[in-house]
Amino acid sequence: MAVDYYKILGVARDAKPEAIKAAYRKLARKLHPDLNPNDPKAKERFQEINTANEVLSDPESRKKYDKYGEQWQRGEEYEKAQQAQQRSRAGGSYGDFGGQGAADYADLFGDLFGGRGGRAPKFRGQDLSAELHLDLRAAAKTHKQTLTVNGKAIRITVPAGVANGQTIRIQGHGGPGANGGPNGDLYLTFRIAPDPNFSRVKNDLHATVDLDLYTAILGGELMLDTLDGTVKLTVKPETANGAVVKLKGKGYPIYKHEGQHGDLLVTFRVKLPTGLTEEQRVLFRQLADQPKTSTP
Amino acid sequence: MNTENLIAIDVFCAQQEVETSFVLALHERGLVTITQMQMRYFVELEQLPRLEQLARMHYDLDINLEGIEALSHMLERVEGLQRELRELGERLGRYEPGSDT
Repeated sequence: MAVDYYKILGVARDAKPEAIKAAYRKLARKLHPDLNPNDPKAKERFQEINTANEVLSDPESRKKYDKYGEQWQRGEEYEKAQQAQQRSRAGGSYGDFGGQGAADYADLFGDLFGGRGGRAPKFRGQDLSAELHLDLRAAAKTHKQTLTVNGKAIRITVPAGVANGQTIRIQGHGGPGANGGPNGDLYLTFRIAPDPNFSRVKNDLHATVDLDLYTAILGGELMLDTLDGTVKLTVKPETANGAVVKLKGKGYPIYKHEGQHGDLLVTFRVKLPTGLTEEQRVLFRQLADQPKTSTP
Repeated sequence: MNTENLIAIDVFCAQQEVETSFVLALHERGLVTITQMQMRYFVELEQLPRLEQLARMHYDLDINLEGIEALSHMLERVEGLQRELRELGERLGRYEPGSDT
């Protein structure tokens, strides 16, 4: 069989229910998503042990699993089909389906419908994981987004300022519970695509702006694109290549702190002029011949 | 006081099938904050995911209150370190080729 629930829980095939319960609890303590934040591997393993426990802790499903293997849930209908096929034949054996005889099936159905004492255990549905891809500008605004998870549409509000890799839990939107158990949760991880103009560090945005030599030396003004519009930026005279100016409050929105923003840090990259005319060359030579001024 | 963002603990306990004494014990240990108004206890809606997480630790994983307390501190550290790692990764990304803007 492809998936061995006994192996997943690390118990023998004849393990008693108490041993299965103990093994599940031990693994659950190790792999539960609450104890392994942002660890998709642990989450996946936890889902496996959950499924294994759901099957093996219920005597009926365990019996079916022992008999039919991974496809135990379809075993019954498979068997009925086998029986119908058998009836249509004149005698013969039960075919090759596990080599079972009629008496064995009678035992199985006797157990299945014989009534089990006590309340059926409730199982919480599986937790699901999904990724939501946004660009930096979209993630900077609180907005509604509709997702389709397992065929169901879910409308969520994405708060401004979510970070790349950040995971939020949406309660009750995971797999359905069994026997009246609650639904699992949906863990949604945000993937924020890089922006061509801004990079984000915490709540600050960084941008690089090209500056022509003349503006760098003489100062001036330029229009700068920010997340919430264009601003006029004053360039001080004698601005050095690599100089950084901070625009307070023009950075990224701070998650769950409405109206608060980080800063925008603009790095100037001074571009030297190319393709000089002869006249410009002369002027630069004249400048070069001037007494040297101090350099920072 | 604005009560829109509060949920009564008895309502939470009935829905989640947990004991009120458990929530009060969490409050005593500083793991959740509860508010008392007119002889009823309330918890802020914002704290519900945390409260549910702690309830799962206790009821699903059989972790006692001392264990929950220790785990909470460890998880806070893990999450802090993960946050730091993510931020450092982003900062490092700024110096990779093609990410100079």
